[in-house]
Amino acid sequence: MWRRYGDAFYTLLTLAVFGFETIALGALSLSFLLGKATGIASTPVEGILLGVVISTASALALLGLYLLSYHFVSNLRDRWQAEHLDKWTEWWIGLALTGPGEPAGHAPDRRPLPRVAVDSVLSLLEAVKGEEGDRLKEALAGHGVDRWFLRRARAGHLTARLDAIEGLGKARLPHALDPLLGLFHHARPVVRRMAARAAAGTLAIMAPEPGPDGPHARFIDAIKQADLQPGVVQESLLLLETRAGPILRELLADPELSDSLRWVALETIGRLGLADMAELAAASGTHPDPELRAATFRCLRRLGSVPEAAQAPLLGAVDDEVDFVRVQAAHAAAFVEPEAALAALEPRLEDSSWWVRRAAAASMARLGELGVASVRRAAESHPEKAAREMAVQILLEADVLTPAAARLATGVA
Amino acid sequence: MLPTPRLTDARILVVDDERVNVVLLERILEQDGYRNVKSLTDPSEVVGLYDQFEPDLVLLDLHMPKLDGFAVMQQLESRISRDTFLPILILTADIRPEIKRRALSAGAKDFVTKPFDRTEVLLRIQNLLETRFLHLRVRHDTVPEGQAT
Amino acid sequence: MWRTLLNGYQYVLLIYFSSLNVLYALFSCIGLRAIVVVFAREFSQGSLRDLLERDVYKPVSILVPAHNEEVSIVGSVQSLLALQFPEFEIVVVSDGSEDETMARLIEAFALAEQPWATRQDLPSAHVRRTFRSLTHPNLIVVDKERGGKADSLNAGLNMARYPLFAAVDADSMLDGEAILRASRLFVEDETLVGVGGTIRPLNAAVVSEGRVAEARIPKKWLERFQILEYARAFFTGRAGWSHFKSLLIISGAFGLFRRTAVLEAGGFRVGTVAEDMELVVRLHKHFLKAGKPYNIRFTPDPICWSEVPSDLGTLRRQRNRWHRGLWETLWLHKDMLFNPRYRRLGLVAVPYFWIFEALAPVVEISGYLLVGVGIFAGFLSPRFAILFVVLAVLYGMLASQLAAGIETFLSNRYPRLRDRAVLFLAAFLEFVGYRQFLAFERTVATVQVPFKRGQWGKMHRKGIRGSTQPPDAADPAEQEATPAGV
Repeated sequence: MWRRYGDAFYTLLTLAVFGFETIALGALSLSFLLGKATGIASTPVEGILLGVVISTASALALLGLYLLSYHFVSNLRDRWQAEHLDKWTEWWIGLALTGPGEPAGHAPDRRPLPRVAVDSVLSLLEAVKGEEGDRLKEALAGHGVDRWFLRRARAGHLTARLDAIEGLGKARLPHALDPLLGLFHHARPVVRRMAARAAAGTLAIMAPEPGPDGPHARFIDAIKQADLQPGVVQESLLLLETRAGPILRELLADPELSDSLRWVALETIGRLGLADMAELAAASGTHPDPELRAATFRCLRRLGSVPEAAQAPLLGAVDDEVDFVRVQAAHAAAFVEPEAALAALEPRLEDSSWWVRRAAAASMARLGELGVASVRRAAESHPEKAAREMAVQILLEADVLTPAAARLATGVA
Repeated sequence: MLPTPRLTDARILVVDDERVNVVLLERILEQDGYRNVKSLTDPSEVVGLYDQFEPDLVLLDLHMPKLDGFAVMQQLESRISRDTFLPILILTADIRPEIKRRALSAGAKDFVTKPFDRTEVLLRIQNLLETRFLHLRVRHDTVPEGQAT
Repeated sequence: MWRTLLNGYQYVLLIYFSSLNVLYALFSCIGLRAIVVVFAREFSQGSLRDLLERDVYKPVSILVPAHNEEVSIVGSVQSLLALQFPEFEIVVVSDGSEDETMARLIEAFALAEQPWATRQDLPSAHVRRTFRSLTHPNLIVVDKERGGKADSLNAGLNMARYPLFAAVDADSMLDGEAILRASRLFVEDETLVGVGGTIRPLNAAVVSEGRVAEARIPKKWLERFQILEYARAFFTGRAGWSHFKSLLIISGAFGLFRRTAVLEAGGFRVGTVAEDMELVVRLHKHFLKAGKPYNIRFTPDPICWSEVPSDLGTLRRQRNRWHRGLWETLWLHKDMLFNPRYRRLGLVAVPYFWIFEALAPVVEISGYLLVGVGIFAGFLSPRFAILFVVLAVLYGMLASQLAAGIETFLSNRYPRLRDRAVLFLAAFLEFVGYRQFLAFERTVATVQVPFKRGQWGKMHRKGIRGSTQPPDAADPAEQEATPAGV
């Protein structure tokens, strides 16, 4: 979408042009004011004005020329890159499938690789792992690419740094993990964000090493101490793929875990569908912070299961004082034993919050025949109009009622 | 009785919008002896090619612009006759469990996440092809003699 | 006496011109550098797909207010339904349409009328009927009595059930990944309340299957000039302001907002012609007054294509409306002007908009008049006057050139050399008539503001809280929909 070359120079060029113009305008204004104030003839001012006009016109011509030539250059370059990308891809694949030394490659050993080659091998690393992946990583290391990335990630111009971090994220090199973790403390949020994602991606393919000094532990420490938005932490945890489970367990096992991280952990468990962690998650169902209670029930709902021990607190929470907790508890109640659930949900059909009414009705409809029958009853004869309306709405969405029947039920023409 | 074809004669169709992935799979298959491999980076061409090529196996990516893997499976389903067994192997970076479930119930016969292990993929392909050829043989054998074309 | 006055005004003009251009230059460079370059790195294609494949998104309600849009409504909705986004709903609000809008929608999408248990978070004109599509369960259509665009958006908000909403024009065409790119910013930044994307003229673009396949330069110069204008406005103007966290405008053609934040601020204001800008200014005000951390951003990424006027009459009316809207909004919130309570906005952004945006056309026209008068009256040497005008024009071209330049880095826009050359030429020609014409129209608009206020008198009450959510609460709409597979 965005070409990554030539834009830095263009920025510099425009900066220079506008800087110059600013100075020129300043000079012009000053001389004009001086001229008018002291009654000096307008000729010197005109001279400056002419100068500024000429310089502006030249700047215009310069920029225009740059852009037009960029067009040609970029067309050529794009074509060149496409060709070379193909060639490099074939070479890398050959290397990966048969081992080094075999294919008649065109890359001498120690010379730094062109960007195209690096991009190509990074794309391949996203597709293949195992022996072939390892061979590619060795090749990368052999050409010093990893060192090149690490150098730029640690100390480089912002855009170079971001490029390098992205590259490390794709390459997933185990020895890059610690440098990336170090970047979690960088001043710029964008660097921290990208480092978090890259670190998670790298950790995802590393073998689990237990112990307080293992990569998991270091990652957890870094996450706890870094100033990262919850959304970013969540992204990173999701990028951990199969390694997420043990890390989440450790996080939740820490009694001093910050509320924000606990919230993230609960969200992640739900999104990753880690059903074996349902009990661990459910423990937060009685947390003093309503956001965490809500997150717990949301998690259980996503997992589709509520452990025995958590059922009573859940049903109790359907009556929580905070409305959004009631909503999530009501949603999760669909996975509890039907009779108890219905007993807790029915009163919620006349809740003051639209969202709670909806969640209650929706969950009731999911509790099998018993539940649907309850909703039907409510649609027909509940004393509260809002409850009847919501019941009809839910039945419509569940295709139990046709639109015509719904209109009839609510008396709409 | 139909002579058992060699697995490596099988016609395999690779569909992925990333050129790199396509080339990778082609080379992997080539190295393992498969000679009849066709590939596409534009999923909208799949149905057209299917009629011409009649693949024995389709390697399909899920997330593609314009037309995703699910849409392709739907299109193929309406194309192939009910008693044809067309194995579709999904190769995707999407690790979400519900996507896997959805794909497997939408017509995919197997599911592999990227990055994949070469040996594993080849073994799965082999298994699917064996099943396919077995199916073809059984179908051929159960067609009454006089009606065999 | 006259002479002194005119001299004095010359000073004013020169200072004005210089300051304007210096500020413009500053913003251009900052915009280019800070947002565009960094942003492009962070959101490369690959990382976007990664995150999509891991469920990192928030569901979105797309609100489409429509009044007499029978010609394009079905196409627009189809295009929206084809968006690449895992979970979203479309709420079309027909604002008292008297043509075939409703009929065409009902037919095209198998709409079934049904009663709807709605919330009344915001007041709106009476909703006559609500429909759900039988073929596309995420499409809802509301037939409402006429109340205006803002009113329709409020009605849409009452129906919306997701934590984020997008306000889209009925004739906008969104890029396939527009919503994806915009919504992920909300996941990463909890304090984000609004995001504006880039609007590009749709004219002459090659459209296939409801998506823009390739952008082309239209044949009419009028449309070509608008391409440059939009590029300038977005890539340099808004990008710069966004960097300073003082973005005052998110285009009504495409903006993504956090539902609870907008409800807190009172929804859209009825009775103003620029409800999009007015909302953003009010959001700033609301959160600054409340002292809560918040963020409103522009990103160059999410793209929305919109048809721009191709004839002078429509263009005039549009620009007239925009300029009046600008004045209305600024006047409505005049308490922000130079008010330190609103920090950067009050001290920099709002004054800038008063002086260099709202008043700019008046100053420009007066400049031309002055030059004419000056030459006639003989106290301004023709040479000086002409040089000055030439400088002004050249400087404007420079700005245009910068914007056209940014286009070239977007590799899939206007790829043909011919198109690039035309844009290059347009950067020059724009200042030989087009700009002046618009400046004149906007000056006229300025004069008309007190007379053409529409429902200026009837102001929408702020702080409507019919909803049941306590402030600072998690949005109960989070995860409203069931997870896939359940």
